[in-house]
Amino acid sequence: MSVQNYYLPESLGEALELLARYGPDLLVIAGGTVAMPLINEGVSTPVQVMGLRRTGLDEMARSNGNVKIGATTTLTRLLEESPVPLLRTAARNTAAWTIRNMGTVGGNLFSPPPAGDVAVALLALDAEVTLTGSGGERVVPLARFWTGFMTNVMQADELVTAITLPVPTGKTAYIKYGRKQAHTPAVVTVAAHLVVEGGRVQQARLALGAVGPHPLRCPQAEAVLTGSELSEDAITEAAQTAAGECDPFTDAIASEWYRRKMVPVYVARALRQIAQEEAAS
Amino acid sequence: MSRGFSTIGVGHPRIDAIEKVTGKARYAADFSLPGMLYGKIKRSPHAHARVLSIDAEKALALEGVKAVLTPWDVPRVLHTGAPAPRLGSLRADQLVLTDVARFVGDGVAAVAATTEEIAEAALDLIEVQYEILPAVFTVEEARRPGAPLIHGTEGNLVMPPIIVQAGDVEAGFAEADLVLEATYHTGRPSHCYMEPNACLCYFDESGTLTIWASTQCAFMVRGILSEVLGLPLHKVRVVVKHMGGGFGAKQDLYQHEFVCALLARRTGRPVKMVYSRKEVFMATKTRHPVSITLKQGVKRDGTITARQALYVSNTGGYASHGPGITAVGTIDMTSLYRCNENWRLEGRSVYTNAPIAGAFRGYGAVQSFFALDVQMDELAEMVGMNPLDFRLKNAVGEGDPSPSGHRLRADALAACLRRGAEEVRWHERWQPPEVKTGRVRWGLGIGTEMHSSGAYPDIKEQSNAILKMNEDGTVQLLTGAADLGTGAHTVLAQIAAEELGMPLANIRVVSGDTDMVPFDIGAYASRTTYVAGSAVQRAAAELRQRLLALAGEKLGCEATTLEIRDGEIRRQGQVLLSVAELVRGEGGRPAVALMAQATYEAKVAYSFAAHFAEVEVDTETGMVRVTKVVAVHEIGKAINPLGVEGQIEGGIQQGIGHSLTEDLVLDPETGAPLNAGFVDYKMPLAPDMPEIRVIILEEAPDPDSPFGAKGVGEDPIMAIGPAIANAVYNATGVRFRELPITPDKLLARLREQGETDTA
Repeated sequence: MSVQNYYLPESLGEALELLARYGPDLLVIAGGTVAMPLINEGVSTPVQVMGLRRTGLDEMARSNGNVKIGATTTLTRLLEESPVPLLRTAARNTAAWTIRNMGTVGGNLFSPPPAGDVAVALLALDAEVTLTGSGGERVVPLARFWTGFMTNVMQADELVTAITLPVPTGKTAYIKYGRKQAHTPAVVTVAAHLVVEGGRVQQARLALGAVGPHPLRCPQAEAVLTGSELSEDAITEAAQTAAGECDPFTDAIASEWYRRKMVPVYVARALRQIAQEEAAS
Repeated sequence: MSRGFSTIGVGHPRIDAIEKVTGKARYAADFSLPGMLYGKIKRSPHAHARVLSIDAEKALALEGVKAVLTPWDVPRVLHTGAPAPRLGSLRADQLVLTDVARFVGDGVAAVAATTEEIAEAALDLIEVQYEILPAVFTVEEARRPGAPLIHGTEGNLVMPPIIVQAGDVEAGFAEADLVLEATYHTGRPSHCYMEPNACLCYFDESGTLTIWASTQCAFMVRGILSEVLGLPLHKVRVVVKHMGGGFGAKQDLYQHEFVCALLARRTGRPVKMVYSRKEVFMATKTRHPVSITLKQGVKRDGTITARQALYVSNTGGYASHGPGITAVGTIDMTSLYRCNENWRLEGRSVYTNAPIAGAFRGYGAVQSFFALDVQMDELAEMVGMNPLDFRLKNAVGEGDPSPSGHRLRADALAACLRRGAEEVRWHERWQPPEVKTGRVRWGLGIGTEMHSSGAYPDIKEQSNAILKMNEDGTVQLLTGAADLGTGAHTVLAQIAAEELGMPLANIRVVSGDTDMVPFDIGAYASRTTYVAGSAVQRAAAELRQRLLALAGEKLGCEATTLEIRDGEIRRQGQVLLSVAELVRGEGGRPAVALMAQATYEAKVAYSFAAHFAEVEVDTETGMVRVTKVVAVHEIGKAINPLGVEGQIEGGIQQGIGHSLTEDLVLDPETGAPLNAGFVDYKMPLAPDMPEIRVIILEEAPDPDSPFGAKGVGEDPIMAIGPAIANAVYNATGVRFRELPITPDKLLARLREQGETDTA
């Protein structure tokens, strides 16, 4: 193991100072559930590591129709205390209790696919990411946060400090499809948020996990849904459209071919859940 | 003897349950000694490469590093990883540290340092120059002309082919109305025991090596260490405390056991080594991937007329149990279903540069019975018979030959099939696949197995037991049989208690120290209850006779008029005195030393099972869910029914994993495992488990075994695989001749079959 120093700053200011001092040579972790296995196996060899768990960035607050989640809020707390049911479901479908006790909401944005099951839900909920650096704060929509596999728009001196999202006004659905019932990487994860008024979809948000270099939104499928009556035909068309918007990969869990086949199946199942709820309400 | 039992036949919680669940039980890695160093192995990143040179200078310069070993610093003794005394078919092809890496993870150097972290850092500083050699990972590649020879053997064969034949196969096929030939493939599951391989080694002032190890075969570890290190047997002491599983993989020695002892010898300090989970996955053992080309002829009335098979196992970089599992897998195809005693079976084991395959619960027979029982389903359909009736017509029974050469003593397999069929209401509920419709389809399938308790005649089975009576009426039971987490020690204590007429609480099992306990060949082959249990029963019977003789003397009556029950000496039901009173010292004199020893060399008994699996297949995704399993096992007598149920449920869980989700996937270019960790090597967990109904039959007790008991350890994993594959066929009409059945593959097959693209 290569780590020589592990810093545990007691405040955001202290953390930003350390980041400014070491720049890209400093590996930032929160729960460490993604980084530490790589370090322990010698895949990743950082010399300086900073843990954020004492920086007090774990507030979860609701105000003005928004929910603000501190970056180091654990997945267990999200599961138990989130005011947004979709996020509780997403947290419950992420890893196991031991990992959820350590892993954080902010850290989930850095979990390489097929991991990152909470990030998929955040993406469907129009979440924004607060980035704090030496020059102050800026806010980036989560949909524009990632730029590729394990790459993003952050500057070297910035930290993710919070994730903010509007409390969903429509109906949501979340399905993680894995090879087993629990504790398993996804074949595909689907999160959907639809606002339906007067029998028509006013606003559609559809996000996919485990089928691209990072969690993906499906703008074309969303466009198919918007204005539709959420009929079986619209659902089928949206599902097929989403299949064309993903960029899956092969791993020990599933092949690229299979993942692409499962996208329309599970998008349709998620959308049908919402359609059924709409019909019942 | 028809008296009721007091201790056996009743479910007892394990005698070591409390210490285990409270975390107090100590496993090999829990032991430490003052001044202890930590050892690590430098592993080859290449699947096939010659080590040209090793520069350890930088590693040795690192503060805290105490020793580095290279292939040229260790005894160059070719050895087998597998049990002593040897089978002729085992191959001595391993070195302590190798100068030719034969799979990704083969150990080429080792280091000892004051901390684990320093040892790991030192590994990175050891510079190894390799000449990369061409590598092959599949049997097809390895058998191709011009393929690299991994151990210099012709065609990469581990040993000459095993040929088993009887009758006249060609005449049998000529007599058949229909002949089917097909090839069946099984996957590469990993054992996934909870406790990683670990050991602690230390040489005392007399030059005696003590090794705390996690092994199923302590005396085998002693034997091979003695041979490779050049130490006499009385200067090697192997201590095994609790074990967290083995499933067959801990029948072998690994590089760490030799390296750890050599590092301890080199540094003069105790050395501990613990494998990481990744090392366990890449550098211990897997099950052998096997391909079986099976041809059978059948008459229209359902009579099987002949059987021909070619069984080819991929043993990876070293032979390990390749010859053994291939022999068992080949000869076991003479069993289970009759074929007019016309068979021609051939078994081959092939070296490749894949991870080493070794012994694994079901030892070669899992693969054979998968092929056999799936083909039984296919043949039933060809002749238009119900798969249950077709099996009942052909199931082996009394008088039929068994792989051991003995004739079977009962119609136990048919009894299992009938009892299971009744339980699942087979004739009412089973329907052919053609009538199944809808997105989610239900299917019902059968798998069967039979398995010997012990490995006789391939291995000359032997167990011993010593019972020592204490002056307060308690007993030490000394056994060399390991309890690798199966509950075997509880069973041995129950057998001793029952035979002695003492309460179970009065028996303490002492095991796992080769300096103290008598020889035992090891815990494998579903043999512990049958073979070690027989030794215990015989020793206990002798001790009981001696107690009764002493009591007769003391009471002035014939010993034959007395019996012991519940720790009391009785005559015609009347309590005369307690065993504690009988054996305590009197008049200032110590008690009489009462001990008994027994040796048992087993022949063979067969256990049988039929599993009925119910599945639901989502035809839109190819996902298979096992929803219920009815498991009927004929095991003679359940000494501890609670333990038997645990074994069966555990075997089914493991078998569901091997059938659906578990497979160590290799990178086709490099041969490195792609899922060497529990993140993406997926075993089924509690939510994945179906309802399991275990039915224990005790209709065919074995006359030579303790109270009629036969083995159960391996049996449950052998029937579940074909049961699932046959149930998937029943649900969907898709015939899988391979494991695992992944949703990927099933969906592709459903699409080929013309299921519509519903989404």
